[in-house]
Amino acid sequence: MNLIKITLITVAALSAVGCANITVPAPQPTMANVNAAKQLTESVKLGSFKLAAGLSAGTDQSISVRGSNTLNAPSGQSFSTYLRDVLATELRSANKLDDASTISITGELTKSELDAGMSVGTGTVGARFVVTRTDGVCLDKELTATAQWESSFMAAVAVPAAFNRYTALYPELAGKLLKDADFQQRCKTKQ
Amino acid sequence: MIRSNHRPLHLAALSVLAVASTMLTGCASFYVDNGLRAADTAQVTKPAAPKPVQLFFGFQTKGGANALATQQLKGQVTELVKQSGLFSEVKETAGPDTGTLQLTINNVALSDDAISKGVMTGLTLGLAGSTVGDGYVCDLQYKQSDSSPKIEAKANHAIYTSIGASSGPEAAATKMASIDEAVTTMVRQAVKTLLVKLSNNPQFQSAP
Repeated sequence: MNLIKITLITVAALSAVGCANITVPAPQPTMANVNAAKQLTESVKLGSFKLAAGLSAGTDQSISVRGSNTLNAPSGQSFSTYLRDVLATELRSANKLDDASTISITGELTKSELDAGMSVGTGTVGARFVVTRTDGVCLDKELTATAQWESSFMAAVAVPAAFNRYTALYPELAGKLLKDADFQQRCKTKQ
Repeated sequence: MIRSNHRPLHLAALSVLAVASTMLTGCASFYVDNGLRAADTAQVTKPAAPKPVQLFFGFQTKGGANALATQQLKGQVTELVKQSGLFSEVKETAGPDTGTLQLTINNVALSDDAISKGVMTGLTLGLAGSTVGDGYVCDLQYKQSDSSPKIEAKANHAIYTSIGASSGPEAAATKMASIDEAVTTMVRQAVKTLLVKLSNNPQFQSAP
């Protein structure tokens, strides 16, 4: 199945039932993030990723635009664990993921917003990352990735664009952590 | 609604029109621009001692990452790189003596501005009546190692959709049997063009 077919299916779904309901695709490594991860002095491991307190549970399962057009977290997972998968994909591709590492990253999804306006679309994904070493917390920081793009009055155009842009915020957020100077400097055990 | 030629339109909108047209008239024809047709018979120049490479592929829509399309097309792109023979191995992870190859295909609108600047190929021919088009700006970046100079190559491609009973852009493009064939042909010709350009680069051939 290819790109156009996906679009056609989406359009057909929109025509048939008036809404699209799709699942976020599997993470793919990005060259910029892998290059950033390669600069880490040592490997890290990933701990639990969950939804921040105070947010509704539904925030972690799906996000909707233009009515019932919904982007779902992967089956059996959540957007917070999707963020973990994205980070794991980048680290693994850089050979910097090691379950035996003494440096551990945990995360909380703090923001998940998407708007497919008639002319402008906006999206935000935020997370609080806590990084620990054997001697305690070396980083506790909230990072945010935002995007703004040209939207359309046509739902069949605006909805896929919004879903694509929202999905792209996850590797962008992972990249913000990997490139964070505080993370790189404070969270290493070797000099 | 049928759009006239030379109007900015991206793939999703094009597909909407195609579907709408198909529903109304039962026909939409797909064409791939002839500009990169030579890639199908071109030969890469294989290096004497191919090296392993870590491949990154990304499909973009108007410059924004399109994860769904990336996922769907990555297999075909990976196979094309493997089949080229330019590398001893195509890897998922970094490693010593492993280069990096990034391939990007960006789906852009075929605007009047882009055409006037000669950015795209063959687009001033054949677009008439109810024919619409999508452009694909394709980029390659290769580094033998983190400290090596970057080698870059570029190519532009296009897919046209002719809606209804009007004639298509036969003068500038080749008719495809389906949209599946149009997309796989576009990807194949674009990636092969980039790989041939890479193989002809003296820096690539002279890499230690």
